[in-house]
Amino acid sequence: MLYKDKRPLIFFLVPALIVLGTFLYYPFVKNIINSFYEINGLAALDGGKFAGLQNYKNMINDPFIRLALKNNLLMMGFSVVFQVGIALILALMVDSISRGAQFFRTVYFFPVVISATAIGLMFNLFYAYNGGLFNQILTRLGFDPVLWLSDKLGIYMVSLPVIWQYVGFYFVIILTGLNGIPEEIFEYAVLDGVTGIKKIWYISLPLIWDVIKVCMTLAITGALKVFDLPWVLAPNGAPKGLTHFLGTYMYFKTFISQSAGYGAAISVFIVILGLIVSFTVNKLFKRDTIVY
Amino acid sequence: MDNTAISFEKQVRRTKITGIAAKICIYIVLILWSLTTVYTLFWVVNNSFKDKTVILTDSFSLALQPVLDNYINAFGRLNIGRAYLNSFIISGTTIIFVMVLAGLAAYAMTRYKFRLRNTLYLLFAGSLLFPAFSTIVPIFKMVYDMNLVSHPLGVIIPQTAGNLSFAIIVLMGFMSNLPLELEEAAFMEGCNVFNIFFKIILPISRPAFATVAIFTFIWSYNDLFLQMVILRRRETYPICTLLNEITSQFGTDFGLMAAAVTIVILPVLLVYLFLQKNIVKGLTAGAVKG
Amino acid sequence: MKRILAVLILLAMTITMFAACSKATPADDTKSPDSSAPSESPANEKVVLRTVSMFGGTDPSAADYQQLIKDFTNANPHITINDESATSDETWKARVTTDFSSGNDPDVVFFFTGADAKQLIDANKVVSLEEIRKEYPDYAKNISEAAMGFMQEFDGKHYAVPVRGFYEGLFCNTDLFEKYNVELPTDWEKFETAIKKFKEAGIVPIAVSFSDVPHYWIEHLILAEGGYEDHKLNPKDTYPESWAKGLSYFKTLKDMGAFPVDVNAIKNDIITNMFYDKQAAMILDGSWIVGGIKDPQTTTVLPVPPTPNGKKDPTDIIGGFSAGFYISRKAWDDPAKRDAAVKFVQHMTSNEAISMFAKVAGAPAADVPAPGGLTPVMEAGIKLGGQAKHIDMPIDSRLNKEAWTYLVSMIGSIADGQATPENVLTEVINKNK
Repeated sequence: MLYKDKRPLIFFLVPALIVLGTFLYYPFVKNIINSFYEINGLAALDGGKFAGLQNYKNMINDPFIRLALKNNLLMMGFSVVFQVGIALILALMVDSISRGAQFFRTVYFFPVVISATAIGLMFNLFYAYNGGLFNQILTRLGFDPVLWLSDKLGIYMVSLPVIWQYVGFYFVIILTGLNGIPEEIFEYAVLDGVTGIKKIWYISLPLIWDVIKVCMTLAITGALKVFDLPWVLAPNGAPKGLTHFLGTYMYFKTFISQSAGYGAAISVFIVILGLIVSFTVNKLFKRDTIVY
Repeated sequence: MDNTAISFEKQVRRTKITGIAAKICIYIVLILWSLTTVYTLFWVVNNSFKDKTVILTDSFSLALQPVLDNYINAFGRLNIGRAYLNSFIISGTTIIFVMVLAGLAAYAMTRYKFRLRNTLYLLFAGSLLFPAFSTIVPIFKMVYDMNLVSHPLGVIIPQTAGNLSFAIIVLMGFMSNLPLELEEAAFMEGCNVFNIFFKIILPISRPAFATVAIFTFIWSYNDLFLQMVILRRRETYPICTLLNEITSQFGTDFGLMAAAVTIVILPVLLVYLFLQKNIVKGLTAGAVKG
Repeated sequence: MKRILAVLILLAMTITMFAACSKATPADDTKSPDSSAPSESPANEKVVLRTVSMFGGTDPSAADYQQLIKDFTNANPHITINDESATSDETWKARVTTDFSSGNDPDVVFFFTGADAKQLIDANKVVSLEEIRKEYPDYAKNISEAAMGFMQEFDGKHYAVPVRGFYEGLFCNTDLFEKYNVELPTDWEKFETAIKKFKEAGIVPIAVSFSDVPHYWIEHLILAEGGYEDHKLNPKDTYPESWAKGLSYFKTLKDMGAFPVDVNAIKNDIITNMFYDKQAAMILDGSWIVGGIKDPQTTTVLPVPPTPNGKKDPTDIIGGFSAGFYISRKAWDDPAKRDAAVKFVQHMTSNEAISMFAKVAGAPAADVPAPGGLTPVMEAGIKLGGQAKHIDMPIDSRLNKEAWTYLVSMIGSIADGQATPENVLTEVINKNK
């Protein structure tokens, strides 16, 4: 009965909706409209030529789009396997120790709070061929310096800091999920003779399955949006455009090549892809949620 | 939330880890990973106190005799104090806007049943997928029309919009777990909805609000893209924009770059260290249910 | 409740604070047009001009430019200059065009001519010299005919007023050439010998970044092979054979080890500093890098030699006048600002100002006495311009943005032999329609 009277809704909801509507949804819709225009140069933004589906057709034939898409898919794979995977292993480990848990919890989160720009600059210092951290280690150990951002290694070296940065984020989420499992369940399990790895497999994992699913969705959609770190680390998809992601390529086309319409089409593509993927993930990993 | 309960849980669980060897292995792995996060930062900070030529030949040694040249250089070239102030004006106001708007909206979304509720929820969740750069050009036009280019509000309002969806979802996750009984009882005693919101919901949801505040701060402070487009005059530059400029000009001066990175990450690390206990409480409630 | 109240008060305070400081500048803007007719007494009226230029950051003229602004406001106390200068790069260019597209037009802008200016002219965003001279007959009268010739746009009119010209050339660290007993690259054979010798000595022969700025080498290899006649084309249907042949030298040079190991990933500012710090022997760049050279006594600059069968005259260079001061349509149509904007540009393009700009880099745009105290590399640069049989503007002033950025992004692949110059150029032509 408390919430029968709907009038206060206006007071509660309208301010947020106005801000979101004007500065998020409207620009996004405008962006969708732009994707159907041929806009060369940002100066022509109001006077673009209607181009129908031309921008989308051009995308199909653009080899850089294919490359970027492949890189994004690779990044999604890395995110699920390494980001969430490492986070899960670390969380299970920290959950099983008593001393120092708080310390690990604190320091694992460090990279999350640092800006992608700062991390990008930092990794520039690590990867530099002359005098970078990695090559200094190698030469100390008596090896030849390695060209880290080469054709073959480039995409992995650009992915590495992106993956590394957010492990701590998923770690904290999973760890809290683990802490939320009631102790009695483990006690019963021990009575039934379930211990060690089995305990993790049959009890911990199923009980935090929802949490892992959320992490995977976040990791995959995050992998689709990735932009600033690769851009700072390897501008213009260096080397040779091989490390372009859809995000960086969209920025390149809009702001450097000044094909704003084409850039708009790419960003629409990113969102559609994101919707499809997160929908699939939720279907794919659907299991009965266990309520405790 | 109860510390003694958690540590008790831990103790029960700890008994299940058998064998010293397994324990040592676990600690080795954990420490190795913490080295990747701690040592990398330390490497940068340590080198910011060295001469730039030393870094190229010997970046591992401890800067036992710290050289302040890089910082003198950075502070001499740039008005860093002013840039910090700009950053805190922008991020501080954004946090307040986000907390107020998201708090109100999340409360309505969890307590009221209305026709568009599910649609709204989808809209909030869907907007998390929007890449920031897909909205930048129209946003710039609007900011210009409002005469807010090179004005803090020109960054604050779009940043508020950008962080709002995440905040609403986190707060909804937390609030939907709160028992209704308290509110019902207050209603019986004659409180109206607004009293209940301000006197009951807000104080209880403090951890969730703290989480929202931290993440909003991190994202707002670190957001280079929007700030670069909107803020044109040097005296309005926040710290990230200012230091991005310096690094694009003095890219080979590793010492100056290390100092620049240190200057950027220091405040955000401090804020995190002070408020980190709250991150876990609020975030998990929200994200897990989201 | 108390805490909420505190938050709200703080909020209110911040908003009013912003409102207060935002008033300072726009208030002047809005007040001036309706106050009085422009011709009457402009001297008493307060005017705020928003100026944008590329004389920021590391530009060698940055300090002089700020000094000129100071002189100007001292002489004209009623005019306030809000200057937004930054180092010019692709992002800066995009920012200027975004400004114009969103109605945030600056009053005076120092910007590029050619392809970059076309969209501004098409959208009627800037005022032509011809139109300005109807009211101010002396506007830009001191600029030399030759310099003004470079300013002519596709519609035959002139819009920008230049101050300094630029040249591009092969800068060489002569001390390294002496130390390793290498001859300066005055012809292609010596150029190749120099590359080989430096390579053996462990010195990077040519500092360049393919991922960032391979621009100069694209232009110069095409010029070296095709000569002035082929270089100045803006191909729409087919590309000249010599362009493909010229670009094929990227692979030849890369195979010889002419470039740094990380040429495909290293950033341009690092590359430039490698040359400054004597870690690299040669760099192909524009006259603007002269300002940063730490050791001007042992640096010189030469034209890129013609390729073995190249049609280039050995003295031909790329250079000219590629930027100048524009007055925006918005400022011109604003009676309060028109006079101030014209005054500002006249101040910035006066003979005194031009000799200040010419002091650090490039050729002066007017007949001013040769600046004194030149370093050897500056003298070499001036000689370069004086001896050239032909001076042509860079290719990217003609190709459209999409075609040009595509060509730039493919250079790494051409040098590695993963893409042929022929295929890349076919695609460039497609995009240049």
